[in-house]
Amino acid sequence: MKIVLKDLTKRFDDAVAVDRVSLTFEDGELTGLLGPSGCGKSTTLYMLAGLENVTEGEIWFGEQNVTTAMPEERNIGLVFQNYALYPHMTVADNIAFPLTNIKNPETGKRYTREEIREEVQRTAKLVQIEEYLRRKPGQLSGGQQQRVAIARALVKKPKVLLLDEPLSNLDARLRIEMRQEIRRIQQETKVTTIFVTHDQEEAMSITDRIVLMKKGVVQQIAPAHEMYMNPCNEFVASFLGNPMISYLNVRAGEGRVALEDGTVLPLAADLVGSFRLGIRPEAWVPGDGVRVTLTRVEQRGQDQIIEFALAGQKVKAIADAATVLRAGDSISLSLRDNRCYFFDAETGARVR
Amino acid sequence: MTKAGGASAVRPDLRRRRKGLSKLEQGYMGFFLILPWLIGFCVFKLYPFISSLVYSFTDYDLFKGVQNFVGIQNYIDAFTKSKNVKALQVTFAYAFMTVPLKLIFALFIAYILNFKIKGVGLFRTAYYVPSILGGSVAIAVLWKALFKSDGVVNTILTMLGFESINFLADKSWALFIICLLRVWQFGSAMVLFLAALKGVPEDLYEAASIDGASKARQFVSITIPLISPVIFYNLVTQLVQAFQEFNGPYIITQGGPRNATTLISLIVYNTAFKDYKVGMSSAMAWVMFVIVMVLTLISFASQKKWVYYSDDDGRG
Amino acid sequence: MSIAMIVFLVLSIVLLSMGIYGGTVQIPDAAAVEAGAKMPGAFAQSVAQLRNFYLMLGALVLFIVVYRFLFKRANLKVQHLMSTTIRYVILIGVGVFMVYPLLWMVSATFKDNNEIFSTLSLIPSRPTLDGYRAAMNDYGGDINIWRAMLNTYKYVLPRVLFTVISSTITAYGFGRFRFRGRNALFALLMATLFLPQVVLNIPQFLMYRKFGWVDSPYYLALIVPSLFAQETYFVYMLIQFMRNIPRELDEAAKIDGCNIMQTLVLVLVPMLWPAMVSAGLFQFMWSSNDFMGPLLYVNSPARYPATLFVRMSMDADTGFSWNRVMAVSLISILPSLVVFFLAQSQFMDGVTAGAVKG
Repeated sequence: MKIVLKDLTKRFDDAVAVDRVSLTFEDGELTGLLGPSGCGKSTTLYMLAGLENVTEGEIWFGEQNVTTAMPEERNIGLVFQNYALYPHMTVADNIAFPLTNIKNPETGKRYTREEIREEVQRTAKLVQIEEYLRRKPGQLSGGQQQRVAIARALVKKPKVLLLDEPLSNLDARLRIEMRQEIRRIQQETKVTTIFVTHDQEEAMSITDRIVLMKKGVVQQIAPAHEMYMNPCNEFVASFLGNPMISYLNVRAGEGRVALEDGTVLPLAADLVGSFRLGIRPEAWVPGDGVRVTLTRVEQRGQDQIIEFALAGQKVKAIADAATVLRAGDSISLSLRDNRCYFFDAETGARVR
Repeated sequence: MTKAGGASAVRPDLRRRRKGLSKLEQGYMGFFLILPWLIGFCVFKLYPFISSLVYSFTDYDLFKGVQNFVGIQNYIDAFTKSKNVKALQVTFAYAFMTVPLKLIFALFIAYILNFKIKGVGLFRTAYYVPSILGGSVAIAVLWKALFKSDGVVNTILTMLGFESINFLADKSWALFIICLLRVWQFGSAMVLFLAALKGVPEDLYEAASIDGASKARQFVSITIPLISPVIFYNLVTQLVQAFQEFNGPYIITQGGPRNATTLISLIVYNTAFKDYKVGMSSAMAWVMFVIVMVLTLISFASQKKWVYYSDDDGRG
Repeated sequence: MSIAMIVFLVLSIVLLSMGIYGGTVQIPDAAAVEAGAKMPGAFAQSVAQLRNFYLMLGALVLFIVVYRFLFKRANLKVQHLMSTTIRYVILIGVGVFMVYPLLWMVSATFKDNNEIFSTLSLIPSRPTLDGYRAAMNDYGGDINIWRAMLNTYKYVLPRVLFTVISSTITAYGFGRFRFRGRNALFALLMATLFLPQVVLNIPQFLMYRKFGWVDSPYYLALIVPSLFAQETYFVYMLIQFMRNIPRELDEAAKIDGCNIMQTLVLVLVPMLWPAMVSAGLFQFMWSSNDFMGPLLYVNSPARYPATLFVRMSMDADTGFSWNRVMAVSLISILPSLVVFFLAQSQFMDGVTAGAVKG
């Protein structure tokens, strides 16, 4: 099911939570709505679900304008952040519940007991929760509860699957496992899926495309790799990547780039003017360029995060683990220019 | 030689007496604390309870004090004398009319109040005040004034074009009026329902809505099960109270007209203090007690089927 | 249209037709019957008598059908408006039903007797204090309203005090200590919750009579049991409340040198205070309204509390001065009302605390 948002807007009294967002979600895609708290991603999701009223704009599911349709008419599945499982029903009943309210699309009549049992089995198998069908949600772990929530959302074969911060309540290890599960399930069912998260690593690891939002406005729409390599503005560049990108105020001219204190950076550029230069931590490589004194070194096992100052500004870089570095060491570094980005000093937009 | 530990065996001057009481002493202290209750229980509850049972098998008279064992004669009379049978019927009718009505009203109003209503507090107070005053004599007197043949309610009826009804003198209406007095006091049950409704998480309704459930379906499948403990509590307490109702009928109709509002509690009272037949009265009281017990036990037994407790998910 | 709606529509049509039909039936009066007019059949007569009822019910059902019809076709905003309006109408309607009797009672105390039952209005057209003046009447000099009120509090106040104290101590014993037989005794305590007072009344009466407590000037029959925590509901409520107070506090107190009673008074009571106040308030209300107790154990009019006095004043002059009766009744419940309004929130909390825990 292809989903189109046209100038979708949501206003609460004076505040604009979602500001004329226009997006297209292709059929079968897994899209991440990413952004910091308050950026409007959850509000957008809830408008898609029909749980929030739309102030302006339109929502289309395929050929249908569902902007004013009630949630129960939209045939969507929603996984809540807290799962919202019915505590008094067994897992099987939880999953079966949607089927007791709608008509079987194949027969046009209400689902029979047999049919319900079959569908519940099928979906439980899909999310690998079959052994727990007789249990109640209170007896399950977080990860299991989430599988049940997903099963409940999928049992009616919805056109759209929406997930609201599905992994934020899980511990770190489980998060990684579950996000792969979500990806697997989505690929098996091929349902158009949109999920909301504030965790950039999560979004990058499993989505086909990311929609990054800030204060109700879409900043960039692109697959993860593309968005990482080609951020369109400072916000996007800062949001993705761990450790975060570092910024230096620079002046460029005559093919060279220099810091405020005159230090020339090992970077070629045909720009003229003052800019903010964003440098990814992995852009620094050992070589002839600038000599720096390390202020801090963090061991990560697979590599080291080093910190130093250039023209009074802090820079973070990733160094190979081969040689153990320590604070106070002095090393020589050069830059890979495909991981360096020039941003307009005022607007933050990407210049090169 | 007390076990004072290794250190004090070496340095006796370090041995200190343990502050506070040992476990054993603590236990006795607890018992001591509840002793007043226990004494009171034996004197004011247990002894009367057993004596009542004993009296019910005798023909104890309030003043003559004569006691002969009459076996189960009193109980036979309890179920055969028309006056008693009628009282049982009336009481059952009363209980099974007021309890469902009261609970339904309470839940209905609590449901409405649960929406974002302006002045919730005001409404809540308005509905609750009758239930704290309602048991009082003053209100019973008020009820009599309202439903007299020339009372306010009849004035309203005639204004609406109906004929006036002599409520208190009409067999079927009189009981209805007594029931109305009790249903009017649904406020206490309503307050409990309101608290329970507020305890149901909002996102369960949202999830149900996504799952295609209509508002009615949501109410039946989600709201009711999740507030079932409170429904149960209200059901049992209201049932127990309904069977013991005394003030209303006694003051408003004195059990009339022609025993149409004579509840069991009235029979118990009148038999003992007007007819002086303590034995018979005790038997009636015990009949009532057994009925209430049976109903309570049935309710408790049925809990498993329909009441959901959140910590009841069982481990494993 | 759904089946339910069709049924409702049919029902409303039937009811309205019956109402209209009833309106057309002529019931001749006695003179006309003599002149030879025929009485209509029994069915027609009953329909005619209830015609207004059928009309109103029919109108109500029709209203429901029309409402549903319009609702389904309305947009979101209008739907919201419609449901909100209905909600308020119901709440206000039921609210009137709740409150009107009480308001009427108050206004009746200020009306003169002819007016009381003739109008519905809550404002007396000629306000008068006759009712109150008559309320001051004393019946044979032994007892008047003020004496009666005083008598009431002669036992209500001690009862409240003793109940709160004894119930707290008992709750403390059950809630914080382990001793042999505790579980069995606790089960016994719970069982008394379901023990109806009706069963105990007669034997208690006989027993108190032997003790000489009947008609005691100190209302002993009413007060003494409360010294022994016999109001199980409050003990239960306090135990529940106590469950929420961490035991570590008791242990900290012990380490700081408190003995058992000090722990109770200095540490637990301050935390238990809201529940204790609730218990006190409820016991105040219940005892003030207690009728059966005084009925059994207070015989001389000079000792009558308010509840007996109200009944007595109603019996004394039947049918004539209801403004007096209303005034007496109102005065008797006034303190309870005042206490309630001052302590509203504690009441609500107390009611819910006892029950929601299950």
